[in-house]
Amino acid sequence: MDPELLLIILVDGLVYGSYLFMVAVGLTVICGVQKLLNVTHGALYAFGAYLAATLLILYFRLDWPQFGAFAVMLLSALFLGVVFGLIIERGLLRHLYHEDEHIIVLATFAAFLVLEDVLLLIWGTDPYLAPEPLGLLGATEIAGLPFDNYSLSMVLLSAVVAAVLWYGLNRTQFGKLLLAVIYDRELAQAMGINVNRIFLLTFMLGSFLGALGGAYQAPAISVQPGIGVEVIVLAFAVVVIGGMGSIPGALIGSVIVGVARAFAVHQEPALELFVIYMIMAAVLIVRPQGLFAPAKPRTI
Amino acid sequence: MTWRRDKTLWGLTLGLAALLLLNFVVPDWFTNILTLSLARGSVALGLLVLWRCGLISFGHALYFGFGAYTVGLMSRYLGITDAFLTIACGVVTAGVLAYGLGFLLRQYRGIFFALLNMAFSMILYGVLAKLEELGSTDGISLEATTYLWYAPLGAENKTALFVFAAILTWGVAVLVHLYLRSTLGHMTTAVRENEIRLGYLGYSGERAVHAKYVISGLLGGFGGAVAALTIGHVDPDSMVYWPVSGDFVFIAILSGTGNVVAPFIGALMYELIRTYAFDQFPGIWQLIMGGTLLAIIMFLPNGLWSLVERRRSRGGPGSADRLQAREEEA
Amino acid sequence: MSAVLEVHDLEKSFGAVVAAHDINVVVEEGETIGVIGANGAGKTTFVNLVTGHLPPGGGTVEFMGRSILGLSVRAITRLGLCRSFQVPQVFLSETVFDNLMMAFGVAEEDGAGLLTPLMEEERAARVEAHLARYQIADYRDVIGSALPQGIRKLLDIAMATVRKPKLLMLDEPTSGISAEEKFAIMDILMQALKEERTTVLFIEHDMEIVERYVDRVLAFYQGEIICDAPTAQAMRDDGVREYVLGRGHDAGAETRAAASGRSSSGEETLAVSDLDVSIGATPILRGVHLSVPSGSMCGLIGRNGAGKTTFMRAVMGALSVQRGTVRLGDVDLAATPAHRRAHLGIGFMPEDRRLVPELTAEENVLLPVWATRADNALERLRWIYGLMPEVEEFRHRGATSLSGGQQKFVAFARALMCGTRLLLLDEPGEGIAPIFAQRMVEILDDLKKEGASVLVAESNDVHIARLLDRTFVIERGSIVDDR
Repeated sequence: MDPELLLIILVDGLVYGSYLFMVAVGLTVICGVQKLLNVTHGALYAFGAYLAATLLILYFRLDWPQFGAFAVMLLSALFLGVVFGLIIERGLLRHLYHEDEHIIVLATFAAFLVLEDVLLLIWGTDPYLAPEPLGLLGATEIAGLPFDNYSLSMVLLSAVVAAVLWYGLNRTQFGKLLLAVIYDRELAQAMGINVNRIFLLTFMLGSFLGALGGAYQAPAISVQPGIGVEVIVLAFAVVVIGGMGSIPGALIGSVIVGVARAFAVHQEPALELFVIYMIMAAVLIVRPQGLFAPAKPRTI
Repeated sequence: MTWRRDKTLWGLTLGLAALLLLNFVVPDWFTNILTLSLARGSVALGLLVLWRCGLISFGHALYFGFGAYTVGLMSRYLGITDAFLTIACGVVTAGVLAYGLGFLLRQYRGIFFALLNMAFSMILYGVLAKLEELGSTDGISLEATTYLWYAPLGAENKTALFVFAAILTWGVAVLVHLYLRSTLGHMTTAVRENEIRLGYLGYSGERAVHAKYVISGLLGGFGGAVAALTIGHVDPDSMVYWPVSGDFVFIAILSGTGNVVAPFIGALMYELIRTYAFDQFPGIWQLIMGGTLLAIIMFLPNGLWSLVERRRSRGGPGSADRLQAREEEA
Repeated sequence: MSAVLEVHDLEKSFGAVVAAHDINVVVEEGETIGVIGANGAGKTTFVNLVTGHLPPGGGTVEFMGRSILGLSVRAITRLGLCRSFQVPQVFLSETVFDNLMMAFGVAEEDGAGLLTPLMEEERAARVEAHLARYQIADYRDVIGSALPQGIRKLLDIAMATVRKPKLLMLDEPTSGISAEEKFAIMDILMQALKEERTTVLFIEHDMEIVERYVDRVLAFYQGEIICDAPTAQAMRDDGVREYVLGRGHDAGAETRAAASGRSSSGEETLAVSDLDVSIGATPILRGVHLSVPSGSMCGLIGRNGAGKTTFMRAVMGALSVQRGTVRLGDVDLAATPAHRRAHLGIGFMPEDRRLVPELTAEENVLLPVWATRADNALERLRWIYGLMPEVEEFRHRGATSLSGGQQKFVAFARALMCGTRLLLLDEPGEGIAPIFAQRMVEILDDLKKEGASVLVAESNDVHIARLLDRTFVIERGSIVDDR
């Protein structure tokens, strides 16, 4: 194959993979700690995109420093993470932890449907466009094709998020307490850890990451109804491929899916979606626990 | 056998009669809603068969879509529009697919079973949405349905299809009811609670799951084929995409697993709420659906059928029934 | 007489643990055989291997003259080799009648027959007869989870006998049954089995049961059969007395006298009264009274399944208290959130260690202080290292790289970290090499000198009897001796 094409596919794959990672990582964090699949994550992504797009449009009407746009995105994601974390975890999930895992997924599916319409009630059906930040970072030419640096910065952002999360989980006291909760809730409680509070914080963190994914993607897309539905099932695929609850898994899963999709898009566009879910099915068949299943408790 | 004393068989038959009579008094658009309820109810009935064993599929749009597209492709490429033949083919192809995938899926339980089903349904979605030959995202429009030599048009066709689908669904429901009374059909708690014990009684949980999976696949194909004929069009977004699977699970949980009649009641409720919400509050119909689902999960975890059961156990003399009902409520 | 079951050179190991070695057994038709042995001797593994639940590592298994090695559980069951379970495996949400109906349905139908109706009048009549034979007809319409333990056990066995097996293997038919009921239930059971002329092999801990009902005894020790003889002869066998009956069991009695009286002030650190606890629907603890006086070391002694771990978990708030009170000093623990216990100064060492695998030994030890933000953590850590210098040596190693014994020490140190008022130690000496166990006793001795309040659960008090101020013996979920 043409090496230039290969390079383009690789870059395309990485950019798409980092977009996937941004939405999948919050999902996998919640999945790992709380052992539940959270469909509302798709709505968080959509809310993140809408809120960021709206605020960016307002922001660029002011004559403030342009790079403040990044702060706008970050703050809108933080706001959404805290508010939705509180509402969904305290208001809904708290009452369902003792239920069957299927029922919890369904409840989040129901909450997702509700949130989809709340979104429409607030923002209506018209698309929102806020492309200004795209131009802020300029463009780079790779193999004769221009790539805007904003898309490439998504790769950087993913890497930073992955590194920060990895550091937070493995090198800080809070992270180590979190590891204890992931390993065994009962033991964590016996050691004095307030598991309820950890659950709330985790859910807020996961929701923040979902919203951040949406907020950062907002300038690059046309923000319109339906983006949450599309994203959540892709994020599911990545989380399942990487191993539910594994951050390195989500990273590798996103890259695999991103590059495989880029290959399909450039070589045989008809296979775009097929490839992604084929990988998901194959992984479930060969390694149902995913490529990077978190360490299992040792019994012997 | 005690055919004459079987309340469910009577209920099904009376229900069929009521539906057929109802057809004369309701407007055309409502006939369509009724036919679609029968189609979705059939898929939910398939989920009931699995759910009783503690298994949930987040991907039964796979079989629904398979049945629907079989009908669509037969119309488009072979010019076959006969309802008997197309529905039969829709059911059989979905059943064959379920039989094949069943060898794999029978080894999985819990969330893995649910997700693997979803992955397969999304594979089908990916293929259908991208291949021109299969209609891509626009889908395929069907020619008018025929019934052997009878070829009605317009409103008459809608009525004909409804009558045809109602009778077939009655037959399907009776068969499933008979299955549920069989030894295999009773093998539900056994699979859900204790496959090890089931093995030591002399049967394997995997075989049981496989058989049940094929039954649910056949029902999914049937529902899809009927839906395709009713709508007159098949497309990936409204028939195979993941929220469609979610809707089936929604209907199943709305209905409850108590009886074969339940999924049809649930499906009708679902269609009515949806149509009404869509019509009256177009901006927030999803909100209403989601709210309904949440309310069911929180306040009526055993579905609408538990209302019927509660009423019955309050009056009925059967001590065993009452004991169990009390236990379930607790 | 002819052989029903012939097992030769059966082998099985799990990693480095040998669960079955050189097992040779011939079971003749009509025999009643008792399988005895300490916890972990390989009794249940033997049943699991023969019935196809686990694949053997080697050897031959013949049933009724045909090899059944490699057949599935389903196939072996269909040949007429059935079993019951230590923890009854009944369908909890179905009635006794429906449980047996399913058992009969599966036994009588196959292939297309499975699609014929389950509820037939003749089959129902057979179920009723079976209910009568096992004297559980009174419970006909009660669902599995609501059954008393003894009845559930009988139902479990009744389900196993539906096929009229040639050979029935019972895994501890009386475990979990109260002492008053055990003979009554065994009488019902043995009578029913005699009527059906079933050959029986059962695992049992209770020697009274063995001596009363069994013709021949197989004694297991560390995966091997150390004695195969008629019951009376086996009871006199030296190996059996040493390794199964636990001759050393009473050795602690003399030293115990010296220990008592050393107990300090009358104040109680932990006071538990009338405690009932169930797991799911199964009652495990029944009316437990227990108290740990301040500054004393108490023992909770009982064999596996007696309720020791359940007791510990209930005190730690992982299981909810159905009835009774649990107090730490003035604090009502039943009304306190589980995670507050560490803040109150209770340190807990779980039986299976449960070190967080991603963390180092020292990080595991520090977990409780990170969570509780207790001050003087460093001081406490230094004190613990003084008590257990070995933990300081491997403090930077990852938890998974430690041996079982080392992990046990870390779990102990972790409990000490927050256990300023009370220590709950679940089998500190279990499952580790003798040299580690001995060291554990030394540490406990040091701890005792420091005046800590401790409750130690062990399956026997051979090693720690001299340390104990007070001993509670737990059996079938109740304290049967308090001395």
